[in-house]
Amino acid sequence: MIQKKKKIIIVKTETPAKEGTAAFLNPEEMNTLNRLVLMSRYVVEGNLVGAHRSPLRGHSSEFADHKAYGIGDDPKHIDWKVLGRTDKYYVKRFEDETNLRVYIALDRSHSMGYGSDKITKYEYACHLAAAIGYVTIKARDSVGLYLHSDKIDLAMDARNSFNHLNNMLKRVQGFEPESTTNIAEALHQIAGSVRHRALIIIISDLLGDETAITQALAHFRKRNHDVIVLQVLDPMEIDLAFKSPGDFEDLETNERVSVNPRQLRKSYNEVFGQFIDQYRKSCAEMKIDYRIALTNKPCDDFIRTYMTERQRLSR
Amino acid sequence: MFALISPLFFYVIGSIGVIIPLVLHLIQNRKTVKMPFSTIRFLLLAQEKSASRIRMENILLWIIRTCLLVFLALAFAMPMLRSKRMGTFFGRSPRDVAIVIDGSYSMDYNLGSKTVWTKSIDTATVICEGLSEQDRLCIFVARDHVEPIIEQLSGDIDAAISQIKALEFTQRSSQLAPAVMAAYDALTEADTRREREIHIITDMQALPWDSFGSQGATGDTVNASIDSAENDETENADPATTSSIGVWDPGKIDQKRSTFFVSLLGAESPENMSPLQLKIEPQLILANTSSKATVRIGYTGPAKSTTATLWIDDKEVSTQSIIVDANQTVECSFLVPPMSGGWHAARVEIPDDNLLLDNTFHVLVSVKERFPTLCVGSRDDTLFLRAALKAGQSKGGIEADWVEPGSINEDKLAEYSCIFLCNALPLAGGEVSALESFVDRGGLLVVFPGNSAMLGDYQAWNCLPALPTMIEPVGNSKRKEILHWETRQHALLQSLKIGESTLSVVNSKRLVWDKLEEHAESIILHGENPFMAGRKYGHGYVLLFSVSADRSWTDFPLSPFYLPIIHQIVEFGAGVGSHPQYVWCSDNIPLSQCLPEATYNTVLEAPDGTRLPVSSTLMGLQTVLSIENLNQAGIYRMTPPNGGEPVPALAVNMQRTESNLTPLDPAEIPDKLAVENVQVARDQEELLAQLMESRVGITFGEHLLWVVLILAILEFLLANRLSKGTSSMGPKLGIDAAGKPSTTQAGGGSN
Repeated sequence: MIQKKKKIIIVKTETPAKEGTAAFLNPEEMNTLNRLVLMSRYVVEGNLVGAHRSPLRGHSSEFADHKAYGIGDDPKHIDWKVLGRTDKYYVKRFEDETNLRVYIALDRSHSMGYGSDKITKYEYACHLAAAIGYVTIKARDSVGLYLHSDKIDLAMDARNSFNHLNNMLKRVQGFEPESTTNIAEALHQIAGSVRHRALIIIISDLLGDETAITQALAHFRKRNHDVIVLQVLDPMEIDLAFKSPGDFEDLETNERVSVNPRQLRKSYNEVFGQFIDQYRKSCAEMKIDYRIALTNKPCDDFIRTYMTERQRLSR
Repeated sequence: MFALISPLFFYVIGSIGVIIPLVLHLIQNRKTVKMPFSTIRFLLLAQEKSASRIRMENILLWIIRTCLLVFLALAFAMPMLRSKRMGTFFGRSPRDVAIVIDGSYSMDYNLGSKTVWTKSIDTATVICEGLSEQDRLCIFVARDHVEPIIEQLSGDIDAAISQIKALEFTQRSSQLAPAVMAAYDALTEADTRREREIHIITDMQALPWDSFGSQGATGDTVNASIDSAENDETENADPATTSSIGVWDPGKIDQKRSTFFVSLLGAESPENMSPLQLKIEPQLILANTSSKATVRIGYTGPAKSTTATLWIDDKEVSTQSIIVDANQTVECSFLVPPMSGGWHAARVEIPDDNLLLDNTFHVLVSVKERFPTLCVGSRDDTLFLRAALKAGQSKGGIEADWVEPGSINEDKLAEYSCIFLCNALPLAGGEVSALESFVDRGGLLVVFPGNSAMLGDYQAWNCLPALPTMIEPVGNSKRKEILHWETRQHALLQSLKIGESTLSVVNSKRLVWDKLEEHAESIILHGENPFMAGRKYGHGYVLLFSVSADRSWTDFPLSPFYLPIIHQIVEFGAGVGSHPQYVWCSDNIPLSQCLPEATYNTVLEAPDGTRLPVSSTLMGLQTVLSIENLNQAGIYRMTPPNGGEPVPALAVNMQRTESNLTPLDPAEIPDKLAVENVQVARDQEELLAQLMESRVGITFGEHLLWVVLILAILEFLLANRLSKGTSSMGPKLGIDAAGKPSTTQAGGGSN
């Protein structure tokens, strides 16, 4: 009997690039984010009835849907039948409960493209946006996006679905940092376009005109939005811990300056410290939650720690 | 004057050192690495804020680094600063050098492998070898006189070195001041624009430096050497009196151009023992009688015990143990056994130490068989005298002859040691001359006046202690008076066992004189009036009584004082013209004082066998016999005129002043010299280093290297501080895990 030799062909296949949510969040991170809730400190207006306080009076008796019970929910709305069936706590939501609208203003100016290590500020900011979006959607709140530089490059309305989040993040992946950091104008535009009270999360390095940006932030507050400012910075931007002199080139203006970082470090720290402090004080006055996210810290740790603290402070 | 030993280092490397930091700075600024950054806004602000500070830091670092390299180059270039104003920039000026070497016998001190003298010769040679062709030098040796070796400045260095090496050591003492003054005078005779060096090479002994603080005096060099021996003032004999050079005058020294280099080559703590003096008593020793030898021993050093040995005629007599305290003088005595008549050589020896030359002390002892005495006068006049002399004959030694006046045998006068004239005047002129010659040769003449002589009869005499002016009877109230010793230290009275102020004598008549002649002295007084006077005449002595030898003028012959004084006079006469027991080393000694029996034909034999002939010099109307080069210590022998074996004639010792080796504190030398520029060295190496510093200059290379080290540390700290920069800003911001910055202002700025 003649045995035929079998030919084995090995075909290499490339792993397709991840897109959307999967590009920014791995299952472990999602698992960590599952338990988090993004709370608004102020009264918001949502398009769905949710756990957030609503400025509207009354309480509809029309059942809308269930929501997983969370700390702070009214126990009298617990659906005991569901508990008996599933051994899980759910509350009933009625039509006139309001959910949170979260709008993320993501800066894609050229300065956001800087990164001294493995990750740029823009990538880190996108990661932050993804995490925040995931937490928001998970809490059955809605999330929207404004991608801007000196103008709004992308505007996506707030929706409450993972698919929306995925699409949002896919769109973000298509953009690269460019243009100048004249974000004040863009922020004013964003403030004008968000009609209902919402939670505005500004993710930017804020390396623009501090006064103009502060005014833009005030615009948000004037419209009664809850504002969170997440200033994304690279550790090198703070410490200037370069070891050798060099020609430093501005990513936005392409200007150059020859500097010996060792000699300049002390004065640079003073100047940059003043810059940070100016934002800190301004945000504190406007009751804006101002945080600094360093790109050398794990994103999920930052989100988890921040949101836990925010939730605690929101009670 | 500033100079560089190795200027190449400074000019070439120093220039490179200045350029390197500048070039590096420029090169560094051009080397740039392109670094993309988010925004340069804060860099520009920071740069603007710290521009001046950074500029100052850069300039400071540049200065420190440049100075570091410049000083390093300068250190290797060995900059010098000369201590003299004069001198060319790249070399040293010609100089005049005077070398004074201490020629005393203390320089023979043994230091182990060499003596101080040998080291001094070596040092003097090294000084000469360090001179250049343009330099000149003169050399003097300080002995008890100044001995010029090269008296005038000479440029022949080789000849000078040869003469230095040919210098011989002598057993003499020294004083440095006269020699140094002579050396300086030699320098000043030459070109005054040259630098001057005066080298004094000596041991650590303090004694030679005393002359810098004392008045020097001119004096008889010869008599001093004998007088001091006779006077037993060994320790106090000041050889400075032998110098004919003037005092040390620091005011004559040109302080700006002159530098004194003192080389102290002796031992710091010397030890030396030396017999300083040996006396054998009584001075006049009779044959077959015992005597006593007393030796005084001087010692420099810590307390120790040793021995001293007495030798008579090269036979050991006895040895004494001696315990001497530190730097003390001690005496010890020996019993001298009876000796036969004649001259005997005696010496005291101590064990060998580091200075051998002064370990023996020689004396010559004269032992008399008899005391030949002559009485001149009538039988009656000499009655009591002869009786007294007869008593002495039985005692031993006195042999008395008697002649009438006018019967004096002039030829035989030399056989006597003592002649009494008892109322013998007037005498014939020939007899007077003969008696004066007798005294001049060393005899003792004793004159008792009497009724025979008138005042004018005394005028013919030249040797009397006084010329009487009166012969007077003594008033009743003053006849009986107490005898007083006017000159207590007189040899005549020293051995008398009768005390003064206990004897009264009744005088009825006496000679009176108003004044004493030259070299005369009043010895005994009768109340307030002279009783006995004496006078040294030539080598002899004359005694003049104011009363007669018999009872005609006084009851003196009946007093208990008469016999002892007569016997004492006889013994005194026997010793008057005798030789001194010893003399000091000298270049020239008149023999009339120490060896009167010497003649033109006399030849002395030195201890080493060298024959020293007698030399004669005409001084005025007199011919003076002298002996030269008595520089060896020991017994000199003389062949008698009749032939036969040489007999001891002269004992010669070194001046013992140099045996005191008490060291000098080197710090006292500048005060003693009283000049500004004095360098004191303890050995040859130190001297050479001082010479280098003086002639070439002080190099600041080492100092600059220390400065370089400090600059390097400073540069390291400053650069390191700059490079470290400030601490991280992150912790200063106080950003917590949730991203919230602290309320503390970071960086110190304010809004």
